[in-house]
Amino acid sequence: MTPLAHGVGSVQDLPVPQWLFLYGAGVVLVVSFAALALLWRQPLLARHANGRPLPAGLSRVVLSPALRIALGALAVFLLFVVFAAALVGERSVGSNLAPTFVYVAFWLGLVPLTVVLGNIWRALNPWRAAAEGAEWLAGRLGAHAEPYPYPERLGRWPAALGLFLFAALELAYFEPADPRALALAIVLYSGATWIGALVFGSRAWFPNAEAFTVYFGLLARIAPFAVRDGRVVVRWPAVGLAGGSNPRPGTVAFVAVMLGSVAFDGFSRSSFWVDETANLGDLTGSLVRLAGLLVWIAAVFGIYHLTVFAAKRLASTDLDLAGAFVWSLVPIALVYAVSHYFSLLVIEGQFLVTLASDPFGFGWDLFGTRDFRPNLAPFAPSTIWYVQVGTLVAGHVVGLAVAHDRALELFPRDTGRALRTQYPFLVLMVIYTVAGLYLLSQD
Amino acid sequence: MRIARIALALALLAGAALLFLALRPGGGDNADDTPAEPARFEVAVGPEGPGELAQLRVRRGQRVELEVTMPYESDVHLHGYDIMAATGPGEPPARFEFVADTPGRFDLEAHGRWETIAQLVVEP
Repeated sequence: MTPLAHGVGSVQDLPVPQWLFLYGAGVVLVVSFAALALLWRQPLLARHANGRPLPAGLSRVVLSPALRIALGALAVFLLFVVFAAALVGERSVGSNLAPTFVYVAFWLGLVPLTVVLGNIWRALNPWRAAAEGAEWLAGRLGAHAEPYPYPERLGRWPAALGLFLFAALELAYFEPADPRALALAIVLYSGATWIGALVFGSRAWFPNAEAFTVYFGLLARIAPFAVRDGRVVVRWPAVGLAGGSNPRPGTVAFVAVMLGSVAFDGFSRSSFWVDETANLGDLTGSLVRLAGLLVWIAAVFGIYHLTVFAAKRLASTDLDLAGAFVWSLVPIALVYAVSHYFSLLVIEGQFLVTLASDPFGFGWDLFGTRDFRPNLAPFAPSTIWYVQVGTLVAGHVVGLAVAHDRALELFPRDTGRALRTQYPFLVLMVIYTVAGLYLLSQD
Repeated sequence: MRIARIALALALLAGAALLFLALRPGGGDNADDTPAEPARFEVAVGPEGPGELAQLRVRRGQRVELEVTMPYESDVHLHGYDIMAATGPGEPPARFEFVADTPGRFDLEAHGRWETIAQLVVEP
């Protein structure tokens, strides 16, 4: 029996107890039906979406080209370090920075930062920083070629595909934390992104087709800070989800991948799934998990479109309800991620302190933190449960409010019709939230 | 009308809080009734794989004695507690002795053909 360092997913949360699941589900039901009676009758959120500008001096600093260039350079440097670690570092999670950086620092850590600070990924995106730098240089050298127009119909489908592939690597592939697999994934993703940016221009490619730009862009709509007309504005949280135009094609699919992949992750830890798949080999196991992931995403997508169909019938309208209401799923996607991953982020995030000193596993001690011992039980189990159930219920309430506001906007002089579209969406959100609670309560 | 709505919202909130307190099991710190005797487990994996995943349930603070036999040469590794022991056919079982002081669920992994072979559940 020898001790060894490990990372990424070493501790899993205990299941939420049955009584707390029932309580959470009960509150969701009561809140949902109360909402119909209690919520406002005039659009309320949308007019706050633009927020209040912060002092011009602050905007100048935050949005200054110097800061943008510094952050972009830092991001490109970090991408390079992570790629180098993945390519040549020790082939183990515990001694290689890459897996913990990709799955914990980047993928989970940026979520709370984005929701609190706004769309910081815009400045921290290494692919975009490099592409914009190259475009600037090409312009200076007079080698700038006019990019092809981005096909509107493609919308955000490429981003949805990108996010699906990332989820497949993390949740379906049999060795998601293998540094070499990550190195290959980084090469493929960087190549596809830069080719896309070269052909269609970074201005069109990133907001449409780059998975993480779309992901953090959607979450940033919840944030109390945003940029409007070159100014930093402050606003109520989540009002950024209200108002505005309908999203580009593929956004519903993208949100379905967000929700479906987290739900599948929860499901794949249930003893039912583990028992069924424990004896499969690497390849079969990967394919079965890939199929499971697809089924969950398709279920989220399918239930959403059924709901839209029902809402259109009830309100007898041909408006694009699928696009109009997709924003109301963003808070639910956020709380799915928070409730499933916040303890993982806090526990595994501590390993970054150790890994920063020896990113390649070569025995270095750059910052003198190599022997840092993480605390594997930073929260009492009951604290984790209350946060999980509390965030799911809160996300449900915010989602309801956003959908309600949208409906009032769509049918300005017909509150009755607006409310009729709400019944199916209410059922949909109850299904998503109770399913999320149920997955957390499974052994 | 507006006041009636606010009152209704507050009443619902109060009701939810009361229900929560009523449903919530008392106590919280159950360290006193942690069994003094160690929990002993044997996990024997056959040539056809681990089958249904064994859940090894212990209480926080309990001593655990765990023995694992494998049909092939393998390092057996308990996540989270990060302890490892080797075993193989015809060899003595991989033996783990530790105090389960971190609550949560921890995978017991055999490196090689199958990943997870059992799960340790440490209840608070």
